[in-house]
Amino acid sequence: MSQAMRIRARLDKGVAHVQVLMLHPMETGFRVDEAGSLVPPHYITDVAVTLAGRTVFGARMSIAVSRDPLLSFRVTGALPGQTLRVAWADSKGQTRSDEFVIA
Amino acid sequence: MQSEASAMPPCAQRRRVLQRVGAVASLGLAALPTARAATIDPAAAFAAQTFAEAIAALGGTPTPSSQITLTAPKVADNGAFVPITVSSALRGTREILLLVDGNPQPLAARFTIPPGTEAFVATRIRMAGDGTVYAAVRTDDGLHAAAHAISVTVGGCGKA
Repeated sequence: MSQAMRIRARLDKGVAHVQVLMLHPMETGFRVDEAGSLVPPHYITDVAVTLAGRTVFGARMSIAVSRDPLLSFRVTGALPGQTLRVAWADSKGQTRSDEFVIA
Repeated sequence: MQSEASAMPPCAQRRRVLQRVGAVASLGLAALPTARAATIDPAAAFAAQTFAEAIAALGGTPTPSSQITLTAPKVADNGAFVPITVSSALRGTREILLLVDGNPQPLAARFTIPPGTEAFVATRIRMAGDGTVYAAVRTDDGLHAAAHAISVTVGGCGKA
């Protein structure tokens, strides 16, 4: 079971400054564990963000994005009370989505 | 020398070769084949193992642009977490791509920017070693890019 994302959005003159922290190992496939074996790759491939149902941001990621991916972006025309929904899917087919209501 | 090279993780060995390829690619951006410029193949771009291949799969040679601001450290102590911020003042920015020419897979991420979202993104990426980060921006006119060289003290390739 994946951990909840940490989503923050600060509204400044109608622009939502969004920051999302996705807790994920983002294994590259190059790392060797304590037992000396290669850890298979396991990383978030896709991120989709909607605000009040409208697509406002998307990402396609590789193993070159750091562990616990942190994304910041800015959405114009945001209003208090609107729900920001962030969803990811990873290379093992796991998915997760979390929401944040803009204050 | 031989034994030292074979003791390195596969990633590091590849990186040495790729750094040279990358150096050639960054010098010769304009010399890339233009015949392949028309096709955009995102899956191939992510799978590409050289900077030139990744650029070709993204639609070809970007135009250098001072309208793109790429903020990153000059020296990164930890290659596992290199902070990168990109903003674009180019009209109709709909995609921001991050590429690292020293990495085993140069295309790090692609961000889609729908109308209504500012042409801005910040994230943290891994770098295998010293390299140049490229922020490429796609508009209706094609690809534009800004570059930033980063020295990496400890590579982030095999790290958690």
